Amino acid sequence: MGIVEARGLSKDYYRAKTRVPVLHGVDLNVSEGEFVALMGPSGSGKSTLLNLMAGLDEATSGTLSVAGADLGSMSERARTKWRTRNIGLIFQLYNLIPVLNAVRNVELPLLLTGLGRKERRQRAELALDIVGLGDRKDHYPNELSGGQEQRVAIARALVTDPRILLADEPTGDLDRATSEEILGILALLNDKHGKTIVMVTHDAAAARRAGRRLMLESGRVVLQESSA
Amino acid sequence: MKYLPLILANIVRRNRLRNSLTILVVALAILLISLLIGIQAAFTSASEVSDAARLVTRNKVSLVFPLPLSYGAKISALPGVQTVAGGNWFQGVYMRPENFFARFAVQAERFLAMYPEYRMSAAERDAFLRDRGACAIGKSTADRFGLKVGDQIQLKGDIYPGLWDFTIRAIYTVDQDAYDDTQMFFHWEYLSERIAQDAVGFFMVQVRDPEQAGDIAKTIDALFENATAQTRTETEKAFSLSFATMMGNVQLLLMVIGAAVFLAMSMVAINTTMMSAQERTSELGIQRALGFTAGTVGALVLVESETIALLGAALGFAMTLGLESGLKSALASFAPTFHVPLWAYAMGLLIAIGIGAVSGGVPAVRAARLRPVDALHAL
Amino acid sequence: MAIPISYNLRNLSVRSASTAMMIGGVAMVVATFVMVLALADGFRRAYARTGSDRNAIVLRFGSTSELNSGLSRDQVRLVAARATGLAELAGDGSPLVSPEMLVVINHPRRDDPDQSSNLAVRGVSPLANQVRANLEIVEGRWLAPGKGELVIGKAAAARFANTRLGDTIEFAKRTWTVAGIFAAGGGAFESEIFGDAEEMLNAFGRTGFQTVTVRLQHRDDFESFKSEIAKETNLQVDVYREQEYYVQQSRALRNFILVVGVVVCSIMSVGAIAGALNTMNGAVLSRRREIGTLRALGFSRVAVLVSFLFEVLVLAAVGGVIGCTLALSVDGLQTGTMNWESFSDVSFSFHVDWVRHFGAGIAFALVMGALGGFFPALRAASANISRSLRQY
Repeated sequence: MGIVEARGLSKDYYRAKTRVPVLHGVDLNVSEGEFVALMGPSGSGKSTLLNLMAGLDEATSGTLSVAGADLGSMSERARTKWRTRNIGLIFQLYNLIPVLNAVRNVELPLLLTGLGRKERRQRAELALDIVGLGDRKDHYPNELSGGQEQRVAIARALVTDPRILLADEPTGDLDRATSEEILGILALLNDKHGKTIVMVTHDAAAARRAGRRLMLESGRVVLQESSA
Repeated sequence: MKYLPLILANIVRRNRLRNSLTILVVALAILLISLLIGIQAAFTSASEVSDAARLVTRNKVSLVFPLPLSYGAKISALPGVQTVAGGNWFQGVYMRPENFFARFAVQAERFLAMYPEYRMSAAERDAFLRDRGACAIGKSTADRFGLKVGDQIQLKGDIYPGLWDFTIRAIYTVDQDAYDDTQMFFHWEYLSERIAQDAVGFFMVQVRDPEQAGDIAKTIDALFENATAQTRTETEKAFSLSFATMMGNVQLLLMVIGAAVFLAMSMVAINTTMMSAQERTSELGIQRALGFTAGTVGALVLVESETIALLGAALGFAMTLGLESGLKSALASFAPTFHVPLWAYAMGLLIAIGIGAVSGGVPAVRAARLRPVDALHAL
Repeated sequence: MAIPISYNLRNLSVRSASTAMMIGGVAMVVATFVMVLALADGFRRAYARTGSDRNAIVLRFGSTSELNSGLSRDQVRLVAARATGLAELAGDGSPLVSPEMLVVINHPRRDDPDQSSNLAVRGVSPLANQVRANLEIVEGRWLAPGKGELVIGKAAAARFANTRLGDTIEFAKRTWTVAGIFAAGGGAFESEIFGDAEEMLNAFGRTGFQTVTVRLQHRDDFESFKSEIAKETNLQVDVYREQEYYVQQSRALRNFILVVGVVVCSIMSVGAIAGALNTMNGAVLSRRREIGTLRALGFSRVAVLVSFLFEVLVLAAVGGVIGCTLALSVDGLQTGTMNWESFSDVSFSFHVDWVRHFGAGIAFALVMGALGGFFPALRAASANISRSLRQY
């Protein structure tokens, strides 16, 4: 049984009372420990699919089970609680809290757990070490480069030790070399730490780092390929 | 309080100018309201600290009309009466009309015995009582004009024309803000000799048992029912209160101003918090995406605005304390017992909490209602 | 080239909540400000309308108020003699000279008869209604001398018990009947009771008067009258124009109202300026990209500065107008207090002056807006174009 299982997943948005279908019956399986890239042109529904997996949004029809939870049957509150434990989110624009320094940004999700102050701090520092930013922990977001900010964001996604990392265009705002660093970190987390990763990207080079690539178009999975 | 660093970081690091301005605005609101309460309290403070055992007897027609001195002895002879001291409102002008403070001619020895709250050293008291041309003044007035014991002061009489010279023999102090320490007392005999009249403006009557004060007041008025000058006797409290009520709608006016201040300042504070929360919509969305519940995100916004409001209150209290003595001397002529009572601070605290709640409430609810997916779209 | 005004107006409606709050803040301050002006002005007007500049009032030398003045019958006779030829004549040829006596009685109030306030009682000459040309009987008739009659100012009638036409009042050990109610152009006399001076002297056991008021033939006769009086070196009196004298009597309380008002309004205005600053700063911050775009399209820094200043001034002006409108609600509202100078109750009404007060209120609003909006506008104008464009 996969860690992500989607069956006939559909999602419609309503814009000025007109139904705008975004996903049409997507079937998807992701096994524990996989690194999957979701690709496709703008508007193909890849970000929507990712938001559904994160429990940020609800599907219109179909079933979706992530990390053993049937998301369709859960309340918003239950999903929030579930997300804290199981999902790490990484965004294109990092989305760090500008008024907090690196280590406090990373520590943020741990505030929702019962951990004590000392342990929270230790874990946050460990997560920063993993992404190679142990020496920048007191810096504020505006004192960091884009790549460094994204590494802090990855550390923040990592710090709760979630089973799945969901990344939405993590290299979308970075140059080639920095992108490679970030992808390297993701690959390492996948390889060495066994994290399941689902990454939305429109960059073919980035997608090649994943073990499997899914191509979405107009809300349907149109192509799948696996690396050798 | 593991969220404290987040709240503090939001206040200290984010838009410092805006948060400082909001703190300042709340502080000013608290300052204004405390001062308004202080002025308002000054009008009624005399009645609050009045002694239930003291009565005031005056001419029934109004204070402008005198009573014969002989009434004093007759009142003293009534059962239950301990001491009677006659006195006159002298008014006069000290150098310039703006230098106003209350000036009374009193039968000094008995008057001082009745007013232990006006404290002076035994030596000064004796010196004052021995010297007919002497006067005693309150410490605030002494400080205001740089006067000390032994100085001469000259008043220009208006009710009692002419120039009047006095030697300051005593300076009295008070141990409660509500007691008036701006007044001047001198010997009634000095006045009556010079104007060659035995007319008294009022008698202060001290009774042995405060419980009997009301009955004794009626007895006094009955005593002079058929005399040339009829009397009206009331407790010191009622007498002071009648002055406060004569001021009319001043209190209502102060309250209206206070409400306007509160409204204006709340709007500024609400505006700030709302803008701050709105600018942060995406960040609040991230917090939700990270797993913060709607309640927690809303509560954090609320606590932040409360913290700002309370910082404002603290600053407002500091400003009030700092300005109070300066204002006391500025208002010395008009509201001699001006001081900010303790309950004004309690009120200020409540108002700050109110401003915090109102200004944080709307954005907090909004933040809580935020759907993380929309908030992320707002990027 | 200037940025179109519709750009600002659209922005105002988009940021509606914040805009409304800023306008509200300015409106509250302006409302308070105008109310204070209206109160001080109403008080001043009550006294300015009390006297006439064709009347002269004579008091004992050095007295600070009518109450502590005192003139003997001899002094009154001398003053009347010196007024001959200058004083206006009544129909029967007697000069319009009114020797008067003023006392204060403690009288129950209409709103709460258990409470009493100080009511001014003036004993006047039977000609006093001609000496005070603006005195007008609105109910009943003028008093007949020697019959124990009173005429009551309409403000006093509104505030004190037993003061309606036909009522009887007891004071000074006799009963008086209310023969008429009078108006006096809104002046402080309306807060007084008039009776026959000779009767009142008798009743209160007095021998002398307090003041003499003379109706002159012409306002310019005042100086001649004053020098006539000065010739009488033993007279020991002060002479004032009646109107100036009463304005002087209201100065202390009026200054107090103004001082308290100015302090309150300046503290409040700091708050409103902070509010404007916050709002405009927020507007500038959230519109950084738009500003960058405008600049990139070729609008100058000055155009951006002017545009933002215009926006904040419009907001402030709207707040000012709302504030003035709010303040208008107290226009004409009657209130009263004790004037310490006369030791008696005086009624007056808030008076909102459309030109002066509204002008001052709106100017105040614009100053607050400009102070609060200038730096944010400057910030908008001086922003770096390319960096603004990159902002998200």
